[in-house]
Amino acid sequence: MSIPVPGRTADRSVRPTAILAGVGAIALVLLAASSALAASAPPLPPARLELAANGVGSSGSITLQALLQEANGRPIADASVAFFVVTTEFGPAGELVPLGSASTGSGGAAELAFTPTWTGREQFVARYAGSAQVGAAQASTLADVGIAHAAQQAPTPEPLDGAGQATVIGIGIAVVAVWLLLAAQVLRVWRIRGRP
Amino acid sequence: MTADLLRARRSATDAQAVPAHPLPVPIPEVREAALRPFGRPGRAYWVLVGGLAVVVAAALVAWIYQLREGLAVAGYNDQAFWAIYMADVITFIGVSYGGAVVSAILRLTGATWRGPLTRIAEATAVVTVLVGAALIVPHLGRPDRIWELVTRPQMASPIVWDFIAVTTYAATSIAFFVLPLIPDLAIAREQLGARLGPRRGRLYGALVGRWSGTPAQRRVLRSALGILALLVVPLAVSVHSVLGWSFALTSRPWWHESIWPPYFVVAALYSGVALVILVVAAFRRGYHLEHHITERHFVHLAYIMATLGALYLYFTFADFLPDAYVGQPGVETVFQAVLVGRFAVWFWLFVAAAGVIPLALVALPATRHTLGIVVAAGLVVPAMWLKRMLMVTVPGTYERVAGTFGTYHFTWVSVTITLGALAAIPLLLLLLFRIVPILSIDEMEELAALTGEADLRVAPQPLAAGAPTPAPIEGHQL
Repeated sequence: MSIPVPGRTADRSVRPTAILAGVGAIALVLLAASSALAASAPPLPPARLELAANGVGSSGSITLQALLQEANGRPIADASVAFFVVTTEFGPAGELVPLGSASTGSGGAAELAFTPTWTGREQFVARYAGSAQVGAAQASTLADVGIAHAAQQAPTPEPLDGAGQATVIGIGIAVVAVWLLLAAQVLRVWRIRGRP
Repeated sequence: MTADLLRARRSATDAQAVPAHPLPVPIPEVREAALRPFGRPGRAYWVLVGGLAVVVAAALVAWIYQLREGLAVAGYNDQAFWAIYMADVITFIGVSYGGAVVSAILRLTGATWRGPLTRIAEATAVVTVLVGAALIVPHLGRPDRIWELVTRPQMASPIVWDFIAVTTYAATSIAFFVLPLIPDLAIAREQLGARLGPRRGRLYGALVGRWSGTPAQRRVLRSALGILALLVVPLAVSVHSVLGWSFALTSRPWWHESIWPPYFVVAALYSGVALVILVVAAFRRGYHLEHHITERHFVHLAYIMATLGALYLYFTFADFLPDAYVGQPGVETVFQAVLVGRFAVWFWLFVAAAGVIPLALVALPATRHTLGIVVAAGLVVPAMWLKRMLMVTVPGTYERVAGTFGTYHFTWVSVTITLGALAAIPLLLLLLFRIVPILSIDEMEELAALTGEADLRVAPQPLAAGAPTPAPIEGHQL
């Protein structure tokens, strides 16, 4: 009794390496064909994105307003718009610091309220990533920020907050009183010693 | 008219004050003894002054070297950031309170035996607080930082309050020393005349003014001194409390203890009274003041010292027990090192030298004499410095993360500066008593008049057979 061994049964059988080479060649042909088809496909129409910064000078809070539309002016609703501020803290080229994102309404408008932590001329950026129907879009605007709030928040009051300051003031008053009393005694003796 | 009325009222008040405080009766022996250091010093005096001055000069050289090379030459490192200089500051400022508080309390309580001691005690207080305050400079490493304590104080820092408290106390103790000098300097000027010399004459003239010891002048002086005595006691307590808080406000095993401020105060008074005993004994022997400063004075001081010593031992026990019993990590390691570990020899040496032996010497009638009391005080002062070294360096060098101890080594720089500060105290006192009377002449005479019969406690007594004869002012040999 003998057990048949695959591959050794007949010289006319197809080798696996040949099969793999054939599949690879077919895949390459398909890939090239799809790339050619994609390159020749028409690009998505770009979206129109406008950005405005309101309330920069008075309230200390900025409202970034973005308006997202298709190229023909039709509003794009329920789309996410990301907002950024440009900072040069990390280099002169500038980096985008994310501020947050907001969804557009039926009119294509998205708003984000932002409290700046520094003042001066700032550049804000809004970005739309695009969809299956419209392409990505980006817009920026410059604004002079007049009022800012420190990023550090005041700590929550503790039970003995203020006791340290009151202690310092109390001890300081006591020290001054001691010096005055000391000076008064020296002065008293100094004056009486001058009288015959 | 009004001035006449006021003058009449003042005269009436003066007349009323006389029975309570009779005018002092001159006691020639007291005046002679008080002015004895004004005489031409002997060779021993100059040898002593010269030797002490050399040690102080060596300390200045060591400090300049430390300024050039940094605190590392004093043995300081990143693990031993507080070491010998802090122990020196606590010790030297601490001993100052002994003199000031003893004098103040005796004055407030009307202890009539205080007369011969107050001047030496107050002078010791002034000199030691100045030397102790000066030791803060090498401890800081950067002298310019002292100015920043004034220009940019951080009020949350105990160092700032140390500075304020020490300055206030130093000013008060100087006033407490200088004001009682006025009548004494007037007496000395009258007593010595031209022998006073031009420089002393000018100084005395500026301080004495037109003091003639009228009842009105005496009343004002007495009142001012009473107020200053009231001020000195809480100030002394506050200064060492602040020093104690410098440690206690730090989250470090054995430093962060609520008992430390009063513990520091008691330690200061204990070592301070011991130093007063030593200084009084030294000047008594050097200037032959045995007829005015008797064994009875030493026994009184020894009782005060022993009371404070017993209190200090109790505080030591009270400091160790709660933490040792609870056994918190960190504190337990530090206490183990102090009580039974590598520092145990020094700790138990302190217990013996600053606790058991001095208390026994004072308690036992056989050793309760001048020599025994001086020996007791001579043990207390260095042993208390040793205790301060342990309190500063052991927790200071404890590495909290690893639970191990760093190292601190004495260097010639730190030892020289410490010895220089130590030498500065007798040096300054020797020089000071060449300028001002060593005894409170007016106070002693007033107390003698107050107690009647020239008061045996302060009045000159007949010389016993064989007792040394007080040397004359001129040609006095130390």
